[in-house]
Amino acid sequence: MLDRRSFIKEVGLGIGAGILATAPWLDVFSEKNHTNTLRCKIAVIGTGSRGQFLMSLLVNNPKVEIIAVCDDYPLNLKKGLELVPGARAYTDYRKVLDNKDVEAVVIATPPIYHAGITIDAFAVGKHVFSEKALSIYMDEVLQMYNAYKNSGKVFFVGQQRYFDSRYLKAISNLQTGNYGAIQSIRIHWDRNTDWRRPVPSPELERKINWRLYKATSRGLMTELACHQLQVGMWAMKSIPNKVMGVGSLIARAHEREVYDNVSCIYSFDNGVKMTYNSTNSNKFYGLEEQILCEKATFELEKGKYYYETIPPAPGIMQLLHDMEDKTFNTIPIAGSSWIPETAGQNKGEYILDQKPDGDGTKELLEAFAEAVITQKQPRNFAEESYYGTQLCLLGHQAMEEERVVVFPDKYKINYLNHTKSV
Amino acid sequence: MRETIITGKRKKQEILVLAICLGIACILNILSILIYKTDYKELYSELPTVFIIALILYLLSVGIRAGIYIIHLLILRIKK
Repeated sequence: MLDRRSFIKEVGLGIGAGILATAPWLDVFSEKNHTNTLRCKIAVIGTGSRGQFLMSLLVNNPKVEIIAVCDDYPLNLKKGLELVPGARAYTDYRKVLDNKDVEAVVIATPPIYHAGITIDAFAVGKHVFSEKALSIYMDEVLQMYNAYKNSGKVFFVGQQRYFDSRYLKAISNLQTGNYGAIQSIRIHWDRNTDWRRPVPSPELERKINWRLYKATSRGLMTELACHQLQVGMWAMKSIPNKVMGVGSLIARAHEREVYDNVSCIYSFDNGVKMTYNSTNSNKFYGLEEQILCEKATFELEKGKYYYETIPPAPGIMQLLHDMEDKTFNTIPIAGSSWIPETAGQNKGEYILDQKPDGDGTKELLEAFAEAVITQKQPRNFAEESYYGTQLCLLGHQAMEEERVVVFPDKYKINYLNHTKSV
Repeated sequence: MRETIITGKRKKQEILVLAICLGIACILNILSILIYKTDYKELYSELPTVFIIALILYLLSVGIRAGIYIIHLLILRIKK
C-alpha cells in the first residue's frame, strides 16, 4: 500500500513543504490520518474499457471495496461483474445513488453523462471521481464544480499526471527557478488510430462510437488535450486567458464528425504561449509535453531534461578530435556561410533515477480512496481539474468559431490568476 | 616451440619506452587543458584516457620497431 513516505521517496522530492508547494493535493497522503485499517465502499458507473481499467486498479487496493457496478450496455456490465463478481449490478445510475451503502462513485461513462451523474451524486451526499473530460459543455463543467463546492464532499477527476512521479519531480524542479523562466510550452499527441469500435448492430453506432460525433464528443480536445493542457497550466501556475485554433478533417472525414487534426495556441498573461497539436493520422512523433525554459528544456513524457549549454568535451578528446579532423578531412574549397541550427544532439538527463511503474492512475485512485475515507478534499485538485476541462473546451470553441477566444468571466473561479465574477 | 629469454635489458628498455609514451600522453592532456581552457580536474579525471593513449602509442612504437627490425634483417639477407 502506498503511503505518503513511500510515494514521496519514489518521487525523490524529499519530505517537507517543497512538495506541497508544487502539488498541494499530495496532502491527501498525510500519515496522521491512520487509514490503514479502513475501507471505503465504492460504486463504478460506466464499466466500459476505461471503467474496467480503473476497476483493475481499485480491486487491488485493500482500502477499497467495489460494492456496485452500473452500465446500461449489457456487454460492459458483464465485463464489470467479471472483475468484481460479488458486486451488485445496476443498469440505472439513480438506483446506485439510492444505495445508502455506497459512499463514493467512480464515473467512467462517456463525458456527456458526467455532469448529470456527478451533480446527482453530490446531491445525495456521495463522493465523486469523474473521468476526464468533465463534460463537453463549459456550462456543465461549472455546474459540476459548483455542485461539488456546495456538497462538502470529495471531488476527483481522472487527471493522473498530477500523481505521476515524473511530472511531480519535473514541475517541482521547474518551479525552483533554477532553470530560468518558462519561455514556451509545446504539446502534441499524435496517433494513427481511427477510434472506431466494432458495433453489433447499427442502432448502437452512436452509443459505442460516441467519440466520433459532435453531439457526444469534442474529439481530440477532450480525449487527449485534456490530459496535457493542465500540465502547462500547472507548470506556469497560471491560467491562459486567450486561445486561437484551427481544426480540420483530413484523413478520417469518411468515418467521423469531430476533427482529426487540431492546432491551438493558448496565450498566458505574461506572453508565454502554449501550443497544442494533435493528429489522428500519423503517430511518428507520439506524444510529448515540452517545456522550454531559459536554461533547460523538459520533455515530460520521455522523463528527461536538457541543459541549453552542455559542458564541453574534455580537452584531450577535443584535441584528438581536432587532430583527426585535420589529418583525415578534405580541405574545403569553400566553406558554408551558414550552418543549419538543427536540434541539439544533447542526450539530456533523466528527471527520475528510475522509470515509474505507471502513469499516475494507480496513485490517483489511491488518493481518491484516502480522500473518501478521511472525507477531506485535497487542496487545489478540483480547481486544477476544472480548468483542465475548460481549457480544452475553450480551444474547441476557438476552432469552431475561427477566432481568438478570451476566457469568459462567467466560467472563472477563484484560482491562480482568475477571480470569480460576481 | 623455441624457448625465448626476455633479458633484464630488454625489460628495462620496454619499460622506458612505455614510460616515454605515458609521458607524451600526460603532456598531451596538459596541453589540451591549456589550449581548450577546460577544467584542471581533467589532470586526474581523464587519466583513463591518458593510459589508453599511452598504450596506443606504445603499441605503435612496437609496430614501428618491429618493422625497422624486419627491414634490417631483409637488408642483411640481401647483402649476404
